[in-house]
Amino acid sequence: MIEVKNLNHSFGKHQVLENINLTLPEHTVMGLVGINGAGKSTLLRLISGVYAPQSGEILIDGIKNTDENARKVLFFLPDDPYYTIYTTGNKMFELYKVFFPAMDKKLFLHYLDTFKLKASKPIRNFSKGMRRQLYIALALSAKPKYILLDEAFDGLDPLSRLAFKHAINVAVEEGGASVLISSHALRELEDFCDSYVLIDNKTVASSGDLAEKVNRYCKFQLAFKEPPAEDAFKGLPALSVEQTGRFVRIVLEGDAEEMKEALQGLDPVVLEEMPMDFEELFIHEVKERGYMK
Amino acid sequence: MKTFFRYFGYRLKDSTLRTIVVSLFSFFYTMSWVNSSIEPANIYNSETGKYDKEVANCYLYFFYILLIVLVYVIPMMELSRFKNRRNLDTLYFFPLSRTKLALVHYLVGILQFLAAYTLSFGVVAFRIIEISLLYQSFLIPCYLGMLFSSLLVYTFVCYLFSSENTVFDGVVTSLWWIALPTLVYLIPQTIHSSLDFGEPSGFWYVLFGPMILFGEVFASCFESGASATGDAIDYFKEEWYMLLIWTALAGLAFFLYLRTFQKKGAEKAGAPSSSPVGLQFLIPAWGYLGFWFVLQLDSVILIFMTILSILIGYFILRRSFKLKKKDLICTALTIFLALTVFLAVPEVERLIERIASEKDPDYTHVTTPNFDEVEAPVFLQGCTPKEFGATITRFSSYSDKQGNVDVYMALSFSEKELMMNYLDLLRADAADPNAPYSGLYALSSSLIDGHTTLFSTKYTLDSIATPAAGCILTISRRNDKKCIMECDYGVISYSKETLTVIQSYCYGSFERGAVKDVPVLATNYFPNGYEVSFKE
Repeated sequence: MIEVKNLNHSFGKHQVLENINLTLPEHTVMGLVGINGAGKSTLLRLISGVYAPQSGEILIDGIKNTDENARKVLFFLPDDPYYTIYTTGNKMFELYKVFFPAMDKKLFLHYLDTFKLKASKPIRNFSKGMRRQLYIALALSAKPKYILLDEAFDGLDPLSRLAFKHAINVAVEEGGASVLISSHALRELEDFCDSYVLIDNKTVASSGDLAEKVNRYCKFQLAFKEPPAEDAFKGLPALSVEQTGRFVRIVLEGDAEEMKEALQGLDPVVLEEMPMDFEELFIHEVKERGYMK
Repeated sequence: MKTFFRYFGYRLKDSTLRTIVVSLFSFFYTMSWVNSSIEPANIYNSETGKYDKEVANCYLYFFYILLIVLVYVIPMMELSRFKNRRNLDTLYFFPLSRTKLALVHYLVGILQFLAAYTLSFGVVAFRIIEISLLYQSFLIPCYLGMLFSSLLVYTFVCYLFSSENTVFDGVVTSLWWIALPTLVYLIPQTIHSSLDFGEPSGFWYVLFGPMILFGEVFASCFESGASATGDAIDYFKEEWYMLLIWTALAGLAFFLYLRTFQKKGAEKAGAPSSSPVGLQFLIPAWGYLGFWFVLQLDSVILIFMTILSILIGYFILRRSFKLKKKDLICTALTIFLALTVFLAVPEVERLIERIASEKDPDYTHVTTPNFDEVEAPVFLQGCTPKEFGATITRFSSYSDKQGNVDVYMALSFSEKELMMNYLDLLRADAADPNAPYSGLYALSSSLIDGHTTLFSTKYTLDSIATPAAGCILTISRRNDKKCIMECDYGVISYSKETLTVIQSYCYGSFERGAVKDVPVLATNYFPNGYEVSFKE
């Protein structure tokens, strides 16, 4: 288990993270979400030991992450990882093998084969997505207990995303790994994350079970004979209301059936429940917090 | 520790190509110099036939330059990866403490240096053995001595380079630190002769501070090789305290190097540097020395350019034209401090003079900056330099009430013949205790590109530049016929056909800044020069 306790961090006078508390349980995939500049990458760097926390502490299986032994079970894949102009996939495998002796060459080559990559080619010739695929292969073949992935889907094509998500699921279910993954591809996260953490305004704005969070809300599309009055939805627990003439799209907090009944009381011509997704919730939530008004 | 050794092995293997390239470069560089530099004529004094450390030092420079390049370039190459955030994202999450990480790169750099150094030293040793130049038993202690000295400098570079946040800042900081201590020592006494800390090191030393160390160790090793026993290296015996100081400082640098790795945040990589020993300190320090120096030159443009240079330094440090308030405050303080010191030091000089006069009421010091008004002292009347067509360009005298007079004059002659006549007169009078010029003797001078420059000795105060067409001589006299000199002999030589090239030499300057009284033995005229000898 990774525990982050009362973590604060700033760059000079600019406070980036304030009083962060977070727990990554074992065998879990946790999505780390937030707007650009929210501090997601900084948090991952702090957990992985790249940055030293200015106050608070980070424990990996009960040991402070500044201890090199604690980091033996952790693999951090930054958004733009290290390589030189001469580095090949094999060379990177050798480097990581130094620190992760359990690295499995067969598994590495298997993932490279999945992604159609050659280990002997210089990384400088790879596209951004190919580089990402290579490092994902490295991360998974290291078989670490904890995997921290920053902007994991960045540059990946739809097929690679699918392969990646499958590989992560295998690592969690068969390898017993825990994954903390930051991404703006919220629909992708929703597919395979068990829980989420939303970083906003320097701190953890909300967190919890992802499915539970999504199920707490419902979305409806309505059509009326006449455009409804502005205060028609006033009594409802609406997260957002979008009105275009006679048509209304509304997101409500609460049980879908109960909300449907309440909406029928407004006498719509059409009332249709729509699927609610995490991305939409995220947008509503951060907008509510004052981002991009 | 297993991970440490695994990473060390990996880095060693990874740097093989670089090690080979650096070693081959060192090998071919040494090969290109060794035959012309290491030969008996460059090691032994042609007159005495003995090993001459000063002469040998001049010809061994090729090896010091190589060592300087290696001990600066290798750590910079090895540690430059830590200046990039992308690299640190990977290197710092690895399960290896930063102390061990720093240690691995420090040791791998040393091994790269060792390979290049051993190969180059091997070439030098082979040459020495090939021509049976010296007793060869000195080679092993010499190899170890130079290796140790190099590692001391290597450690300084590791710390200085790692203390800064970017490769550029690290390189500039490491290079600026080479000369700073020497300049701190040299500039004050260049500007104010009263602040005489002793014999200044050569100009090369200013540019390559660590060469002082390399030169002393290497030339001393050769000296040992020239002796019959071949096993006693004077430098280590006599200058052990210097080595101890260097070692202690290198130990401190090593400790700070490791601490930099432990404490410095990865987020600082690539950001403007903020190390207290880096550019934040060096820009005002160099600005202070530069400003103090240009104030002497009385040039508004140079003063303006120096201030501009300080600001440009800050622009480069901040990567922006927008400076921080503290940068402007530092610039203002630097200028203020340099101006204060510039104005205060002459006052201090006068105070020292006054205290000296109070202690010895008979002692007076007269310096006349206006040369046209100079009247020849009584003892020179009837035979003044002016009668020989000479112009006094500098005059200074010390006298007491007992009639003892010390005169220091810089003379510029319009014609060569007049100078020769004057020198002849000096030579004749030197031997005659009753002659007006008794005890006067000429020191060396030089004339370069139509500008004469005095060879600066302890008593000639400063160097002088003048567009005179002739030669400048510095004349000194003391009643006891002794003069404090820093040379055991000097030679004035010049071309027969033209006055444009007059060179001066001063060999055998007393080592380690010691100054002692030496009596004049003779001033001998030769067809191609004039030699003034002093007894050691």
